[in-house]
Amino acid sequence: MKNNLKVLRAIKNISQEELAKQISVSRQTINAMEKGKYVPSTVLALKLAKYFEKAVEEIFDLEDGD
Amino acid sequence: MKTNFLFPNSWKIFGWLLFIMPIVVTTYFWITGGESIDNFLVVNTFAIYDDGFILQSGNGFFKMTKNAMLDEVLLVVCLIGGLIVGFAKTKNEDEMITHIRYSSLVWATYFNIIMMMITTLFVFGMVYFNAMIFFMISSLLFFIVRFHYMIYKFNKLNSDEE
Repeated sequence: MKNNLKVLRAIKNISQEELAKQISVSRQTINAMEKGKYVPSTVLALKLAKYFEKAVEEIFDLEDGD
Repeated sequence: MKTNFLFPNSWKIFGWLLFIMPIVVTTYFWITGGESIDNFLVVNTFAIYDDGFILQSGNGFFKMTKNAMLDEVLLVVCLIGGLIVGFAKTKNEDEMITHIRYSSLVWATYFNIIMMMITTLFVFGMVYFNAMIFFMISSLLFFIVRFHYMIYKFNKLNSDEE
């Protein structure tokens, strides 16, 4: 699953640390998601969507293998 | 997100202590080879079943039997400590850590069973008996090592990034 968290974070101009605090996960988890190494739970995906005020589909995108 | 069946993070140091201490004590008895561990804490204890093979106190269900309980107590303390170390919350517990914990548990289960199969097929005599004693704590041990190694690797991978 792909995502554009890094882009959205750049637009909002906040650090991984700050985003992590906002949605109460560790900075490592944000980094792992941005690198595509971790697929978040539905709860976390919805939290991110709410924070960025976007639909989940605008942040996350299925890949061929999924 | 709600995480179930985990101990508080503050218990973790206590867990390490309980886990390591019996291993150190048992290793001490094993290396010095002097006094047998079976000479300590000899008490009358309750047995659900005793076949009388070692204790020579006759066999039967639900009876009192005389046994050196130090080795039994150490094993139970070690298992309790291992459970706490493996299943205490980390300082920054979140769903990613939960994910790492569960995948480490699967990895450790495979590894432990493969080790048991290899030992069963290729190790014989008293060493096999001793290995079976080790396998009483090994699944916890392999899990704890794997879990902490994966977290270490994960944090290292992340430390260069912003």
